[in-house]
Amino acid sequence: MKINLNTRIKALLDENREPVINSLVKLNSNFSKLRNPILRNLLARRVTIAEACKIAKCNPADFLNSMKAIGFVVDEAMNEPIAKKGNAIDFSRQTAVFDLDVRPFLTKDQDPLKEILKRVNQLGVGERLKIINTFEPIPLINLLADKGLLYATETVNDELIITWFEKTAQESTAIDEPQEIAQQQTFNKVFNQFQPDKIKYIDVRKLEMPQPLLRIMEQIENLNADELLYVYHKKVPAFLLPELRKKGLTFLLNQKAIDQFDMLIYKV
Amino acid sequence: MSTKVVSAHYLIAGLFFVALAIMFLFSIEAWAGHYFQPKILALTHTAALGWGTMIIFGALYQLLPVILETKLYSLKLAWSSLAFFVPGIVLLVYSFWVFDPGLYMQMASLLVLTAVVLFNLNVFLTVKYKKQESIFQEFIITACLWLTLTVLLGTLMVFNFQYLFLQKDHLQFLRLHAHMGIAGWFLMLIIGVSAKLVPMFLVSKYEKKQLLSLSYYFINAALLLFMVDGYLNGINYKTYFMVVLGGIGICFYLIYIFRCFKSRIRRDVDLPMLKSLFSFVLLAVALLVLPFILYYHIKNDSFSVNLSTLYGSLVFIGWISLLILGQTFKTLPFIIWIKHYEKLTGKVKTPLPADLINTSLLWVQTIAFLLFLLSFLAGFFLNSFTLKAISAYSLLVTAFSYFSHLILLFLHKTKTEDYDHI
Repeated sequence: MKINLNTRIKALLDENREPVINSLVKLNSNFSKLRNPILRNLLARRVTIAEACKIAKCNPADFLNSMKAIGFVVDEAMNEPIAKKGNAIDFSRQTAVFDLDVRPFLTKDQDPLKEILKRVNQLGVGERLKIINTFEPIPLINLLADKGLLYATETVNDELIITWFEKTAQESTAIDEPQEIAQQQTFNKVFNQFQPDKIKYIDVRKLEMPQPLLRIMEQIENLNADELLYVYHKKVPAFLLPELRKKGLTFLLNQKAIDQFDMLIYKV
Repeated sequence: MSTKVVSAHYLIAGLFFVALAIMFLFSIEAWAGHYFQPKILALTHTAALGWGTMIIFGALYQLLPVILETKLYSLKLAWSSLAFFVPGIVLLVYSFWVFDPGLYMQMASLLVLTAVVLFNLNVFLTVKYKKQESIFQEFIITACLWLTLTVLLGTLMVFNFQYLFLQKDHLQFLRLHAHMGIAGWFLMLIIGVSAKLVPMFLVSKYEKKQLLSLSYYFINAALLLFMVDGYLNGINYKTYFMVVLGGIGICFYLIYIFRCFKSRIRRDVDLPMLKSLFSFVLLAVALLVLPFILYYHIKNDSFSVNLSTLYGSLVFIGWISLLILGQTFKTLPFIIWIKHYEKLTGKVKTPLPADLINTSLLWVQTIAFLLFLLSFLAGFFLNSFTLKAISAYSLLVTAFSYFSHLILLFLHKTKTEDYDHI
């Protein structure tokens, strides 16, 4: 796979998750956040390599070299990160400012996104939210800038970064937690409820029809309440769903690529 | 997305089914006479093209990618085929009904031919992308070739009405035309598609394909022999042999289906599946009629003509219609479901494809069709006008309940609930 500074982290993880995380953690321990499924999805989806380096405070060249070492091809032609369009806050205008310190969330390994979005939605037009953080929340900035909010960041020191968001008139609809993240969290939550030794993995992507169906049926025949079947599938297995219902099983799907679906099958 | 083109075919086929039932009502008298007459020709072509072939085209656009695990070559080609097909059928049926074998009928036959060629092109180019060969695709490709030959001969016969260039008796060509269509197109195609789908629907582990290969060679051999001998010598004692040959071929297929049924994991068989399986009983009955047609034909007894009408009815409104009535509510809910729920399922609670079906409408349609079948057969043997009228009205109820069911499915609104345990 060809990569450059503008490649999203998610694309790297989709290609080869474990080796990518391992070599990044070796490079810079800040990347161990990628081991947490919630943070991984929050960050990886919205962050490019250049931005990730900025967050983790590591050298982009080192990052690309470590990826080269595990088989990625670096596209030398694209070595400049694409600059983000700025919509900066005019601080000369005085307005109400609300503070939110998200550092307690992060020390408890919790995702502050829900709380942040709640506060953002409570903002009136022209009001500001001040977020106190240990890194520059690039994914959040990308999300809110897309929704038309103004923003600014100030690096106080290595462990203290302040980000302001200001609501503008053009932005009217409430900002929801991006649905894919909410659904991803459900998927991960269920996945984490099961003991690792009670999770069975099967990969039916290469099998010809109707073999995937039959293989899954074999596996769920004696599925206990404390067991989880993790299926790698190439599509939504529509024919399987009636069988799952008949057996009183629940399923969750997580689409990772156009022909890559992860499926959890379990008893409630 | 192929949903639109598939749905369009289903909807138009449903309309032709309603038209078929209405025309049936107005041609009760015609059923007692010879089958080579305007109204019966109009009815047969409404059933074979407007109803049977139309829905098969639509179903294939949906199922080819599923069966061959590849993409449909072109949606535009599918739409253009339809654009020729619909006016072609309407004009053809109209010119048969009023029996005007001139320009309109000729134009109609050329429109249908164009539609079929475009369809074939799409199928061949789709199959080309698939590297692995399978018996299923042999069946489908062969069926498409037979369809082209059927329509080509049909077109020649239409032009022959005016220009009289075919050397033999028109009825002789009609037999060849009909059997290319019945055995070459419908039978080959239905075997090819169902051999892949029935195990999927029943969730069966049965995997032996040899029976299907045998079936393929026997049926095609019988058909080819019948074409050659039927053209040269018409119907004679040798024709029995070909019926037996083709019959054995069908038996291989039926044994395959039976073994799939026996080894199925899904124990309960739903109503659409039951209808589909029962439709093959009607095919078997139709096959049993064939030797009698031959017997009376060789004896020069005109009863063979009545039996031929019975045979044709069993094939078209018995076997093919019942199969479509069953399979529509097996395949269409999937199309609708995929449109509404494929992106949502596994994230929130969604209905299943089968939940989209309206069970009471399905029962109305099933009972009405059963009533149609019984009263039609009884009316045929007893030559009773009342029974035939009952059968015609029952078919009308079947068609309307079928069509309104289609509409209900198309109007489906997305309904979801959140998982309550998370």
